[in-house]
Amino acid sequence: MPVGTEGVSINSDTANETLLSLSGVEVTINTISGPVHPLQGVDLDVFPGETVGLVGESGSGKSMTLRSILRLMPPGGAITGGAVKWLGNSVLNLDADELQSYRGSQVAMIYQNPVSALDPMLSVERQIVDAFKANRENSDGVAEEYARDVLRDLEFGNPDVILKRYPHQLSGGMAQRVNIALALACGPSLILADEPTTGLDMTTQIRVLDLLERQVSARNAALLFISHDLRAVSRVARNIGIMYAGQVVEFGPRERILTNPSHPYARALLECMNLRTGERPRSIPGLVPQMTEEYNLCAFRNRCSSRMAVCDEQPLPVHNLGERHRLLCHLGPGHD
Amino acid sequence: MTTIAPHRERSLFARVFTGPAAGITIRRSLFFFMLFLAVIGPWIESIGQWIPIPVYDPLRPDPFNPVSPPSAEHWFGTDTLGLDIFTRVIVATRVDFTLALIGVTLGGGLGCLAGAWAAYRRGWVDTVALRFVEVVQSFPVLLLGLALFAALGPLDIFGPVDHGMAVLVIAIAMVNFPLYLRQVRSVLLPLTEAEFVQAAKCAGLGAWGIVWNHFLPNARGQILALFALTCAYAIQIIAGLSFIGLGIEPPNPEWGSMIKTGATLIVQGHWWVSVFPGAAIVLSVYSLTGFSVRSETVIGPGGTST
Repeated sequence: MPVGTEGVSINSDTANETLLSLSGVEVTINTISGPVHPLQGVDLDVFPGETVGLVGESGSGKSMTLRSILRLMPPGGAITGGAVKWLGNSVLNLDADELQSYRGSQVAMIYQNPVSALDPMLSVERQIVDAFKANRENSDGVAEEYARDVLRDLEFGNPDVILKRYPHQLSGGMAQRVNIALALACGPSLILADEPTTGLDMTTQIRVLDLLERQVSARNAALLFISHDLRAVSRVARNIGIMYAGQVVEFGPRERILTNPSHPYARALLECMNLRTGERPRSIPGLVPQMTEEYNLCAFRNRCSSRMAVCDEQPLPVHNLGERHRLLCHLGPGHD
Repeated sequence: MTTIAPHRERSLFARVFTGPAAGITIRRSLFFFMLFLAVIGPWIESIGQWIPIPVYDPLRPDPFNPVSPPSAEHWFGTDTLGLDIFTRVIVATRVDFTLALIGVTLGGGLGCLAGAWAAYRRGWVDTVALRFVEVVQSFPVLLLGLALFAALGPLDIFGPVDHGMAVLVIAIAMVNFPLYLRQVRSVLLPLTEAEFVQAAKCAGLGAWGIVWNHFLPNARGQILALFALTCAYAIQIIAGLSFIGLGIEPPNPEWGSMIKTGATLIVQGHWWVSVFPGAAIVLSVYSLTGFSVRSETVIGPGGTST
């Protein structure tokens, strides 16, 4: 056996395990008033069939993370650093045709505003059939059959009526379930959900979330779910990442993040939502950082209650705490 | 705003042609009357044998009866050669309507595709398209027609198709292409950033798939409104070019060339030679513009709104 084969085989093993891997992803958007850096080194792994949640305030880079996974940049935006890998292959090197088959048949997306994510001029049936035919089997009969089945899976009582409707004839919850149907119709291995329940009322939110989780796991797909609502994320996701200023500052299993987070921001977030204390909600003092700056040091230190001298001097260290628990903070584990 | 299901049972075309409320207005019935004339035009002489309306061969002169005023035998009178104006106005309907339809469909169709493509691609594609539009639109229509006839006149490239008619169609297409490009582009420009277009990209749809499946359907209300309007405009262009002697050559019946025949006579008081074909143009344009307004209000996603 030639030298080095072993190393290669180890690499391909890990490649088979990770579905999607982001390492140090940086995004720069050139605007009229200068460059903006919404992502400043995002690290994230998603394994087949698992559900991952990302939580963060507006502007923390959640949506941009999803966009960079799909390579769907806003005008003037570009991925300027790091790597996005799908099953070990770089997404950033795909040509136009490969990118087209990667989007949809590998990774599909569900949007925040369910009504505007549907084409107002096309019927529900036409949209599902189009998505199915573009990614799976180019046959009208099979696609129409599938559209009916997937709507039944999404708990529509009479799919035939819904299929003939247009987006403006659907309620928010119905439209979002149609969007889920659209994403499922592509047959992806990973579904990205960009705050899919923010526009819905409370009872509908829970129903849509449960449905999403059930249908995704029934199809053995992975789910990457982002929201500013830690409650919604904790309902669905097995692993949770906390985002701040374009970085995933803490990532770990749901139980660890919810009961004993290590990052001061994650704790403050939990306290805000009073999931632990049950007191009246508080806010975190200070302002959300401006993403026009590139942060070499901790971006949270100005709002942090545990700020130390080292925070102003050295860049952030990465602590691996086992069980995929990762932390970006000078405090490290074992403090409280 | 209510979300009660609108009347989707009636087809799109039913709603455009009769409106949300059933019933036929004067303008709509006028359009169907013109359409009817366009269909029966060439057979008018044989139809005349069965019904008591005085129609004649549109091309056979009557040398004993030139420039006679409207009468029971010649409802619209006769022109300098003694040709019956009533028959010729009817026969010309088909020529004008058909050429307008072909020209607008050709130029408009290409214009829609180019406009949607420019809106989708933006950047240099958009810039090039807009500069091209500005160049074409800076020519006066009649001058563009003259230049086309001058350039294409000596060439025998249309085979069995009548040379004048073919050049007319090209002229109309060239006038309409920029109109559609501009309109469709401006309607679709905000769609590039729309969520459902992003979603379509995420669903793995290619550029042409998005333009064809999502962009063009979203402009169809405006396209249809423009279609009726530009057909009316095209009839005016055909008449205008024929009036200055391009396109359809006499003695073939065409409204514009018929007006020209009467242009010198009208000062002598022989008004009927020009006025009747002129009235036909006015009525066609009037009936067509009605549908423009109609389609703009009817074809929104909601059926009656937008």
